Amino acid sequence: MRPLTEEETKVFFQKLAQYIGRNIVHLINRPDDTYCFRLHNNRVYYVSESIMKKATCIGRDQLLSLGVCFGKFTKTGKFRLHITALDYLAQYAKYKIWVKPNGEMPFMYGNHVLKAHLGRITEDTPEHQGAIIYSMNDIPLGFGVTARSTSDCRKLDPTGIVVFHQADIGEYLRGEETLL
Amino acid sequence: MDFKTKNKKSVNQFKGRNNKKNGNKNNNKKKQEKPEKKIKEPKLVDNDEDVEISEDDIQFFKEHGGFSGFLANLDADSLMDTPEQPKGKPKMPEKTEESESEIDDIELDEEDEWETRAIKKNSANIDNEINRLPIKTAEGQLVKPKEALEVVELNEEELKDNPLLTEKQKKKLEKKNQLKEERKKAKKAAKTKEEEVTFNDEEDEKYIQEHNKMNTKSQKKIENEEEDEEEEDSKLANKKKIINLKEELGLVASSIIEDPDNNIGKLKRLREISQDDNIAIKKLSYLTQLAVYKDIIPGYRIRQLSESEKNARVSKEVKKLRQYESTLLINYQQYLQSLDNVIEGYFKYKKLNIKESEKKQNESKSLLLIAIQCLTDLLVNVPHFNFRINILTAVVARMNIKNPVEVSNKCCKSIATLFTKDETGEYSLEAMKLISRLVKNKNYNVREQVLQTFLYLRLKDELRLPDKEEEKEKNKNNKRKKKQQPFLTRKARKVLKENKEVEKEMKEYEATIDLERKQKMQTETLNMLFALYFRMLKNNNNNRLLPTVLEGLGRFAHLINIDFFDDLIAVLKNIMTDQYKNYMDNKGHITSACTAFHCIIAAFQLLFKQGDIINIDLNDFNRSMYAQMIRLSLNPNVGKVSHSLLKSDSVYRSKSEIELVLIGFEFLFIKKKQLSFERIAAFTKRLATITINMPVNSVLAALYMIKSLFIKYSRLNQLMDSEGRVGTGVYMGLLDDPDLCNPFATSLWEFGLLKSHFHPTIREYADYVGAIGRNGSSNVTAGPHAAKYLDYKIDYNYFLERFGVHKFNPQKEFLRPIKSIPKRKRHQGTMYGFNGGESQFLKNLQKQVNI
Repeated sequence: MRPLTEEETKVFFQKLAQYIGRNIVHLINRPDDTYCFRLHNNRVYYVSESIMKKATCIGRDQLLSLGVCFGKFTKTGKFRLHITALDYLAQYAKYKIWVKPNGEMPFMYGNHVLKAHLGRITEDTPEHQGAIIYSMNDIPLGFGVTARSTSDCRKLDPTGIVVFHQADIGEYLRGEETLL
Repeated sequence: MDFKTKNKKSVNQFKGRNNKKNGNKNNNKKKQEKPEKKIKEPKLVDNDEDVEISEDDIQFFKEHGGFSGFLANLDADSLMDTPEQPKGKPKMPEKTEESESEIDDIELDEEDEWETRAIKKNSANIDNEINRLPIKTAEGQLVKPKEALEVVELNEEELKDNPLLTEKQKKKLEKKNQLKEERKKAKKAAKTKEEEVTFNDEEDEKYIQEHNKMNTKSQKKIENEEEDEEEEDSKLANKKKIINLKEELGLVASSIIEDPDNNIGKLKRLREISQDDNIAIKKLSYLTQLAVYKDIIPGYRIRQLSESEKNARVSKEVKKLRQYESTLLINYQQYLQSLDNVIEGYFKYKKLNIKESEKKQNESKSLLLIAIQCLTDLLVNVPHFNFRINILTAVVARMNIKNPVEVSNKCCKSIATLFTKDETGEYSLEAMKLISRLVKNKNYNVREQVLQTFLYLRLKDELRLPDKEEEKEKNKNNKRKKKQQPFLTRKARKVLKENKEVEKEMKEYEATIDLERKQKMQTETLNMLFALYFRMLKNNNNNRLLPTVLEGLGRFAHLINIDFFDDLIAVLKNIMTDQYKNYMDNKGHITSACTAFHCIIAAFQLLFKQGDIINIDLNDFNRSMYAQMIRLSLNPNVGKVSHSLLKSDSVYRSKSEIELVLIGFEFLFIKKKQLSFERIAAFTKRLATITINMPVNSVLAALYMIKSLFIKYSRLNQLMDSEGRVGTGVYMGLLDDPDLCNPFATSLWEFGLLKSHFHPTIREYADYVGAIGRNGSSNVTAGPHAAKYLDYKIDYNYFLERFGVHKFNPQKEFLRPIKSIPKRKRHQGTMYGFNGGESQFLKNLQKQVNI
């Protein structure tokens, strides 16, 4: 367990900024407690300072996980967000997309979001931007990357893809063993 | 023309008529004459020469049609009633036959000329007043020609060079000619002849009668008007003259109104009086003419006759009508011109910058105001009539006059009324064209009122853009119709076609408003309006006018083409952020957040009306609204109810800031279900926060909104729960983002403060709303005051108006319980701009309080 290097921080924050923009500040400057990011086994954890201090007592091999896992660095040095980060992403999301009830299940099986399932979308969402997917009851379902901007969505035919799937809460079942 | 034959003829006729005259009022004799003529006529046909003559006579008759028409219209009864001769009129010497025929020809030419002039609406009228007969006034005095009344008809004026009697004679000659031409109308003509006998006295008698009819209704009305306008005049002689003239004005006006058909010529006299030097008289005469024209102007537009129509033979009635119409038109035109001259003259004179005594200035100013009033009144009351465009141009041009203020106020008001009254869409379009040109010419720097008039356009509810579905249906119907059409033979089809043509023509003559045409007009108006609005938004150098423009944009937002949506939203966002930035940087001393809120609401409006295609979450606007709400608590005028252009209505008045915010709330939360509870809670919390620092009416209105939120979103009762905290983290009240401020970590402690507010109604209402909040959506157990506030008519507008005046009187501030609660209607918030019923409700309430 160690803090992120500068290079890693840059890659990680770039990825995160795709979803929550400048709200990253709110993740770090919290009025209730100080939180930090720690790298462990190539995974990035979001953890409060107090827990982090307690975790230092545990050896590297013995420590399985701490705080909330945001994602992991791949072998090529890129960063991948995990579904476990959804709670925080949803709270600070910049662009939101709500899917209709009939679109919830297809998305949670790992499919892309289609125009027909689009219930609502934040105005001015650009293309290829991270967006959080919500059900119509405002429950976060996952996140993805927009395939079209808001204005393009309007002209899209119903079967066209609006958001490319990245992660969804169905993974808690589908990828139980790999999720960690 | 063959003079000799004509002369002979006229001589014969003259003799005949003389005979008749001798046998005054002897009906039997006349009837005996009739068959004589009938016998004569076939003879004429046999004789070649006579045939020629008769054709000439036709010509003659045509050219002098007005005379006979005038004669036909005489009131036989009034003639019979008053056989006595007026004293004031001297008998005219009889003319010889020779001289008369000469005059006849001269007159012919003169009249030719006149007729063409009349139809060309040439305003130049010959005004040489020679040889006028003295006329008796009400007091029995003889008045010399200069002030003599215009008793005779306009066309007779042309003949005033001739002695009166010869005129009459000539008329009778014409009458005879006419008789020959129109055998069928012989009977009628005979009747007219009866009248002719007493004709000489008739006009004078009428005049005298009218003098006696001082107390007719219209007379009184005008007199009152005059009294109001009356100005004191120190000189006694002047005073007398004024009184005389006033009396005359009243008389002439009432006589015209009583019988416009016959007295139309008197309009000229009114005009003459208006050329008086005295300002008071001038004003009076303008107002009198206004009243007269408003009364006698027909419900249709008088059309110019085409060349062929002029030449075509028409019946007596039609001729008479044409005569009447052209006289009316000429006089009306000149009246308008004189009004315009007054206005133009004033401003030209002002440009010269000559210093004058205050009195004179006041006088000219008051005259100007009267002239403006006349024009606007005509515009509003008789927009269908001729010269509308001219009046419109005159009025619109004065909409932006800065000094004196009343001028532009009046003009704007009249335009607004015109818009609201406009059934066809035609007037609106014309006015719109003129106004948009005016605004462009002034480089978009006009008075706010000019733009406010647009809010009165009847486009909001009436204009519907053609829906695709409707079109589809139409097409479907067409197809079905084609299938259903039975087979027709060629003949049948031909008949059908003809029928259709006839129907089309019938439609044209019907006075109903063509919907399609109206739509077209309104669409064009709308296009111009939006072009103007967009250009103003784009220029954006004029912050002063932005709220008005945005308000208009919001009002008609549902009519904007969806293709503009993105651009428009972008522009709105720009303006909004700029404005907020300026405010935060403390630039430009902006205290009111109106512009920003107008932007937000316009955006919401746009989205609301067109959001069916795609549901968009206007994040930036939400956030901006949330951020700028705090500003309200720093503005003491937040709930100030302003007056609208036309005072009576509350729908069109410009909105106060709190109102705008509440409208925004409606769009966000009431009309559509908002998805994010965090956001709802955040907005509610912030609204509660600003209530602590606002005037009474705004607090109540805000509380009303919180109440409706409680009812719609029952989960908000978490905010009223002071013990259990639902969320984690800390509430960040200073953060300007509703999604991140974590509102469920706090509670609405503001209600505790409001319950001990100095204002009794707020205390009660806060208690009531708080109870609703705690119970979820139930209204039933909402505390002891619940019954009072159940009335569906109580909404935020009601509170804003009822408690709008800042005079605190503890005795009166309690809202009395309403005795009879009217039947509850299902009430889903108030619509934007909908405000119906409050004033009535207020009145009722007032009554109950008084009892």
